[in-house]
Amino acid sequence: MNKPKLNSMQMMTLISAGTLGVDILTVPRRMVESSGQDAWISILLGGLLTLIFGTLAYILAVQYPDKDFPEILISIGGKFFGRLMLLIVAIYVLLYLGLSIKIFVQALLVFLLDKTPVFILMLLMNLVAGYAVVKGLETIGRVVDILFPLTIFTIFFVMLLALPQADPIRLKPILYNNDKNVLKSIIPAAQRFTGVGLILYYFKHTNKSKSSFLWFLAGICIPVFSYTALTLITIMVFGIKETAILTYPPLTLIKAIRFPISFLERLESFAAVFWIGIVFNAAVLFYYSSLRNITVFFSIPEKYEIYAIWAHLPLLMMIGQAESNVWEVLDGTPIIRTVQFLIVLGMIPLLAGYTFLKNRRRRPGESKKIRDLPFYYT
Amino acid sequence: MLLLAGCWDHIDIEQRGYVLGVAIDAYPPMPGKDEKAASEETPPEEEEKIEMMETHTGKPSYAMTIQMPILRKNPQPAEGGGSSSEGGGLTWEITQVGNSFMAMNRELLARTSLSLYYEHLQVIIISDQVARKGISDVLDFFTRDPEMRRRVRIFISKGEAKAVLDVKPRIEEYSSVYLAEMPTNAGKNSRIVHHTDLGQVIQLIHNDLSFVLPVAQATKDEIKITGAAAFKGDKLVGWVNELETEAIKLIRNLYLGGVVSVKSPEQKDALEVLDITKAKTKITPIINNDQITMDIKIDIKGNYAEYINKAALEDITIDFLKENIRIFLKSADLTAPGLKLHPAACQLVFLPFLNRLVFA
Repeated sequence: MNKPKLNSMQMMTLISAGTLGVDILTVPRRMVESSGQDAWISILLGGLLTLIFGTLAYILAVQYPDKDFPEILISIGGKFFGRLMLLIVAIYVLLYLGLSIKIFVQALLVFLLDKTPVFILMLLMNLVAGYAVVKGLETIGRVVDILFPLTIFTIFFVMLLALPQADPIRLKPILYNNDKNVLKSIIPAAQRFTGVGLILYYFKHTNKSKSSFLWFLAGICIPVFSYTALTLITIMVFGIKETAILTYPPLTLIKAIRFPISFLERLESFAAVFWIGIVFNAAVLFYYSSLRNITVFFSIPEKYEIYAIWAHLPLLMMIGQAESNVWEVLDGTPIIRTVQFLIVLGMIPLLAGYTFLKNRRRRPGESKKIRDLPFYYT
Repeated sequence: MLLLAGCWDHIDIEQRGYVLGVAIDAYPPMPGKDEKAASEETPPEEEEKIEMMETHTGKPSYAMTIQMPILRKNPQPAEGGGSSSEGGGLTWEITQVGNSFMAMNRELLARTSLSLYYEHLQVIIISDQVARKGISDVLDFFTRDPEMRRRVRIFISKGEAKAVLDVKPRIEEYSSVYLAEMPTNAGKNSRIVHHTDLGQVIQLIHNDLSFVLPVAQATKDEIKITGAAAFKGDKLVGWVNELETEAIKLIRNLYLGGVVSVKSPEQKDALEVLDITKAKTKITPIINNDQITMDIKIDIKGNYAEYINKAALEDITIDFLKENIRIFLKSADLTAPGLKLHPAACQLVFLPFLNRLVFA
């Protein structure tokens, strides 16, 4: 096995950074639309569901410690079925990446760069994300390590500043004739945490230890906690009626922060800089995953990977340009939602269960370190 | 490096038209018509022709006036104080008539070489005539446009809103800035309504809460905040005088500071003045069978500020509050801060009760 390029702790930053993507701008509105003042409960329950499915993904990754997701699929499904499953996953990841960048650019157009052509913004984002992927996993890990603390600090700093305007009474009545809506919204809420699937791509490259699983869980808990807290604060500040009509509630939340003196008047511009970092992190992580899908699907040798990286550019630009209705993009197109549902709630749990049962016997040649990992079947 | 050298969104500072204030009047009639007729500028008929715009549907129902500072490339010393659209003035007030604020905003671009820029907007003044019909429609554009700040202050004018923008202030250069700064004095003067931000107003409207907005009254060179305008839903339904404003702020836990004068308990006809530095109010509704009462607890801290040994005009103690409870009920909403009650219960029990009292 190659020397791991990422340490255990980076599992946390990678999973968190991959999950906190463009969704952070729209999560409070989407959840309030479906479950009103109890939106935060839906997110919390969706987060718990994500922990369960994330654990299943982790179990699958642990069974194949020297393979990433595309390789696992080929290994389990064989050349034909494995490639078929991989094709679905590859299309999903590519569409998710392309549309995420499209949403990012649309938001950027609204509050920062209104005259810059969409094409240019998309091209620049794709170029820098692609460049980070060219530089390799160590670079990706370090970029995420630098940006992640800043983004988390910004999120919590904004929430802290907005607290004086929060009125807890806007959260009431809690679960008053609303339990059905809350339950219905759990799966849509869990879909906001798509980034947990990245464990299947990055576990292969991390230094495995007993604490790996805990770092992974921490990586899920950070975005779950952030989204729940952000939704709570947004509802407490704006109430549900206003939250439901705001396109990007967190940005409006930043604008709503008031000080008795003229201080931090343009806080949203400051926060936007870090939000760009959040999206960049997620874009890079998904870009790398997409690269792995494509190289494994087409059996591209490592020395030609660079061509696969830059081959993404026209594909991502086309995806971004093809979808002209930004609202459809923001709400997630039905095809993407269905595919996501099939992969996260169907394919990964099935494969995890199958391999967990199949690998009952200790496999020869695997070190004690691997055998000691949580969920490694011995 | 090549890419970093350029910017699509670059606009030179002198090419921006910084909108400092917006006044919204009902149309017809055209605001400031008499003033224009008296001036020696363009004949009013020609001016009105320019201010009109062709609408896609419906008839023009609003007149929007914007105030922009005149930033000269070669500044000349200002003669005397003040501003106006007159020659040598510091600001330019342009009026546009239409029925959509977005359309009026874009139509204004046909009258200026500058690119209108709202990020520094200070105030929106709405005439009482417009406010009586509802301010939701008026504020919609200002809420949606990403350039707008949620901290833009909203004022109501008795009569023409444009007249407030036309004021030539003695100290400040621009009437918009002059007006926008006034609510910051609410910490010393309790008769000024300071909860007047666009964001707060929109929140109150969306949450179906009643509220008050400050009333701006203008002379040629001065603006005064004279009490408040009471809103139910998004419609102006009545006026609140300065003393009533003080009571509303005190009872609704919005009191930042002010002065209360009381009769001296020690000497008849003497007046004692208290400079209130802190006031905290807690309202607890009590349901007892069909009877609803509200327990209002107000903690006031302040400094003994003045003693005047002459006849007091009126007794402003507990009677002052009792007298103004009715005013409070006008605009009170049971989901106000400090109220610990299930909102559903408020909806079912309290609101019908209040509706009988509110602006009866």
